[in-house]
Parts: sequence; C-alpha cells; structure tokens
Amino acid sequence: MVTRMRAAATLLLFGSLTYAACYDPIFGGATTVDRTYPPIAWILSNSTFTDEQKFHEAMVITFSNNDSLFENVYRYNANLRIPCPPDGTTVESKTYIKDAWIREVTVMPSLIEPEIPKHWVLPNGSVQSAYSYHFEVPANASNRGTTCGGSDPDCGTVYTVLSKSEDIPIYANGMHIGNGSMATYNVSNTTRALNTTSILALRIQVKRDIYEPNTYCCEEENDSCIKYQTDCVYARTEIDDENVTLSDSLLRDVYSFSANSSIEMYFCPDDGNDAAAGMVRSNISSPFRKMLVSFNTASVRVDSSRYDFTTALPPVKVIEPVVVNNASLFPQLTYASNYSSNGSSLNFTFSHLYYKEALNGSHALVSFSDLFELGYGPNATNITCPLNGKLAFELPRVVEENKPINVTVHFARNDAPISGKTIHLQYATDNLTAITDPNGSALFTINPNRNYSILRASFEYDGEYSPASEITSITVYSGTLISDSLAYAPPILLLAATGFGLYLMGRGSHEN
Amino acid sequence: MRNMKLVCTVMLVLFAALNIAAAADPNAGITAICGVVTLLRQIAGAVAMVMLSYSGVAFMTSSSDPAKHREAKTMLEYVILGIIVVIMAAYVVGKLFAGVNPVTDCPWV
Repeated sequence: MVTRMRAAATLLLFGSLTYAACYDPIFGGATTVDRTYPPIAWILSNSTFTDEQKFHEAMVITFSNNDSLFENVYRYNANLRIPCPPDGTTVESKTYIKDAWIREVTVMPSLIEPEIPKHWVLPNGSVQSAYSYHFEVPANASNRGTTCGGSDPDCGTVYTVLSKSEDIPIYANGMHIGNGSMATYNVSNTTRALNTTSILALRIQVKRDIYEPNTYCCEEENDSCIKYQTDCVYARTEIDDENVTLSDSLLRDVYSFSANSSIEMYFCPDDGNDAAAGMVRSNISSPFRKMLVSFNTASVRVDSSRYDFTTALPPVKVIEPVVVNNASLFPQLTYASNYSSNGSSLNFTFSHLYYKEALNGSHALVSFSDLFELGYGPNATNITCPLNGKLAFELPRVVEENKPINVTVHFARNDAPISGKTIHLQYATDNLTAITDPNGSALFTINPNRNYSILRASFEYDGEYSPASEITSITVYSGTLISDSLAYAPPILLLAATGFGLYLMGRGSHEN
Repeated sequence: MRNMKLVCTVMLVLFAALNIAAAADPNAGITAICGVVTLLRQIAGAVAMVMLSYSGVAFMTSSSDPAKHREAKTMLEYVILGIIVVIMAAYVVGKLFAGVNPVTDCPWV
C-alpha cells in the first residue's frame, strides 16, 4: 500500500512539452494546418483519400500562398510539435533520467535532389532539433515508525535533488552555433558538406538519506515480548550522480552555384526576319533551377526542374522540398536542341525567332537561377555574329541517268567569292565534300539516278561564316529509253525518204 | 496533199506497231522497219526502171508535139529526182545519225 502511494507520488520533472496524444494520425505534430479551413476540412472528411493523399492535398492548399516554398516550409517545420520520439530514435532511461531522446529534425532551407542524389542546404540556414526527457525521482519514504504494537513501518529513503542540468548544444561542422531546438549556422561558400550535430546532455545529482528500521520490544509479559515497536533510524547518506548524453547528426551538401557561360553565334540574320541561332556553353558548379537566355528585350526562359516536397522523420511528417527534373527537357525552349549536360557543363544549340529585336545589341545574357531561387546570377557575354554566305548551284537541269555530271557550287557573300571553305553536297546516298577554289567554286561529280532528284549543298559553321545550305533539283531521264527511241529515227527517216522518192517518181505522171 | 496525209498516217501506224513490237523484243522493230525499207527500195527500183523507160520513150517519141515533149521531160525529171532521193536517203540518214548508232542491222546502210 505504501509502495503504491509512493509510486503515485513520483516526482516528474519534464524536460519538454508533453501532449496527451503524441501525433495526429495524418499531420504528425503539425500545427500550421488549419483543419477548420473548408477545403482542408473537405479533404480530411473525404474517405476516398488515403492519409498520405489527405496530407499531400492539405499541404498543397496550405502552401498555395505568395510566399516562397522555402518560407512556407520553414514556417511549417518550425511550428511542428514533436512530443514523441520519431521512428528510429534512441530512447534512454535510467534511474532518474527517463525517456530521453534527441533528433535533428531538419536543416532549412534544404532541397533534396533525388537523382544525383544530393540533399542540398545553403551556406547559411537553420538547424532544427527536437528532444524530450524527464527526471523522475522516487517519492520519499515518510520514515514513520510504528507505535507500540503497530505494524507496517515506512522506513526507506529520502531523496533530495541536489542539482540537475540540461545542455542541448547544436554544432555545425564542429562549431557551436546555439542551444535548444533551433540554431542558425553560417559556413563559407567553399564548404561542400555540412555536418550538424545536436547533443542532449542531462545530469542529475540526488542525495539519498537512507533510513533503516530498528525494531525493539516495547511491551513484555512473563519475560517475553508481546509487542514490538519499530523506529526508522538514519543509517547513511549516499549521493547519486547520473548522466545521459545523446546526440543526433545530419549530413548535408552545401549548395553554391556559379556558372561561366559563353554564346557562340552560328547565324545572325541580315534583315532580322529570320531566326538567329547559336550555341550556349556553360560551365556550372551545381544543378540549376532556371536559365535565361536574352537578347535585349527578347528572352527565353528555361525551367529545368520543378519543386515538390516529401516528408521525413515519420510519423512526424517533416517537410523536405524536393527538386524534380522536368521529364521533358526544356519544354518552354522549343527552339533549343542538342542539349547535353554532364552535371558540370551545359551545351545546347538554340534558335531565336525574336532576334530582330536585338539586332542593335552586341551582347546577350545567359543567367541562371540557382536551385534555391536566390536570384539570377549575371552572366553577360558578348556575341559576335558570323558572316552570312550564300550557296548557288551551277549544273545541267536535265540529265541522263548513269551519265556522270559535274556540279559546281558557288559560295559567295555579296557576290564576293569565298574560297577555302568546305562545302558538302548530298545527293542520293552520296555525301561529297569539296573545298571552294579562289572563285568560290566547289566542284563535284555525281552519277544521276532516276530515283533521286534533290541535291543539297551545305556549309557548316566554321567560326567565321554562318551555316548555309541550298537545295536544287535535276530531272533525270532514262538513257536507255532515249537511245532506243533514237534507234528508230534512222530507219523511219529512211522509210520516209524512200517513200518520198517513190512519191516523186509517181508525181511525174500526175503532173501531166 | 492527200497522198502526204496517207503517207504520214501509214508511218505513224507503222511507228506504233514497231514500238509495240519493240516492247517484246527491242530489235524486232528495227528488223521489221529494215525489211519495209528494203521492200520500198526494191519497189522504188522497179518503179524507177519502169518510169524511166516510159518517160524516156515518151520523151524520144514526142519531139513533134511540143506539149507531149514537155510532159515527157517533166516526167523524166521527176523520175530522176525520185531516184536521187531514194539513193541519197540512206547516205544522208547515215550521216545524220552517225553518232547515234543508226540501224546497223540493215545491210544497206
């Protein structure tokens, strides 16, 4: 009986807030979601949704404001209440220190890139941790003895808490950045990794005054004791010193972005009504979110990824933003092609229909928005337009099949011949190459085929001249058919002449 | 003029027939036309001999009648002209189509 009462009187000293229910089955410990908000209430009452779907839909609504994703995530996570240890948490209990645990919740702002995979954080941000514990000192014994003849003495220990302390330091890369459940860090841009550690150090000193029962005879009869009395006698004092130290760490990749870009113009239209074309080469230090290629007021934006979020630390549902690469690469940049990226460099060719707006400009801009959308970094680059040359064919238009013909392709700019340039000629399955002579002429010999009539001459960009191409067609007739038909001409002519001779002979008589 | 149309029509029909024949055998048309030309040349030879004889006799026997004499002379001129045309035809055609492989199968070319 005394023991039960003592248990009920156990002194609880909590180290964190405690709630009746550890987690909301759907929202974990979240408090930022207004469950009375009609759309969210409807989602929650919709029985066709799973808990995950309810959570996701509610998050989409909650985050659909004008604040950035990272601001919303910070507000949400910072307001999480985590009364119970998340899954995988080490919980330690000792004599006086009970249910102690600590977890690093998240580092913000952060962004998961699952494909690499990387878990990016900025060089400056916040570390959030959660912890809980309580000191539990047993109830003191009353040390009341018994009266003479009484029973059930309560002799035991009297506990006195001499001292207790908690220390919850947070470290970032070994440097102490704060205490408690939130601390800000700042590391240099050159740091590639961030290792945050939260420690929960608890100590309690308890003095135990131990009393022992001393029973003696308080009433005798006939030299024998018929009643006893028990007194609680101080026996000794002991000091308990109990420590618990727990820690949890997170390892993140520090994100910093830099790019070095250049634009090589392949083609600049002379009159501005055609599309300009060129190639963008960028050395990038990290993945990016958006890219902007602009010629004065004309620009094309490239969204290489989109945001999503996932949850971590079940069942708490800590929000972690995720960046997802767009499945269809550069859907907005319909004029881009030959895109290639190996993570550190980026190349693609582009054509720009609005180049006429930038004819007066001598530079273009390639700027990037980093994954955290802190802004577009300037990457101005000069552009140099190549010269535009024109190709022209000189060849017979009607040719006989299988009788090789000479094709001359002239390459000139404003009627001035361009020499020493490599011209490609494509006809049928042949790909021929020739170099223009001082007259700007490249000579080819092709074998006409009745199944092919198109000839395509092209010049590839060489750093000085724009790419150019020209197409023409020839009519190819069958030599066999013509020669066969021609074979009939002599005898027919002979036949006619002979007939005419006969006619003349007969005409003499008719003239009379 | 009517004779000219007849000759042209006959030659067109002949040409069509030869093409049809040539579709089956490319040499058949040439061979056939060679035969026709040979036949015509033989006919022309016979006609020339007859007409030449006739006009020669008429020319010689009409000296008393100037009108008949003129008729015989004209006939003789036409016959000689026709003979020249028939003889020269093969030569001219051979020269015209020297580079186009004329009918070498015809023995008279």
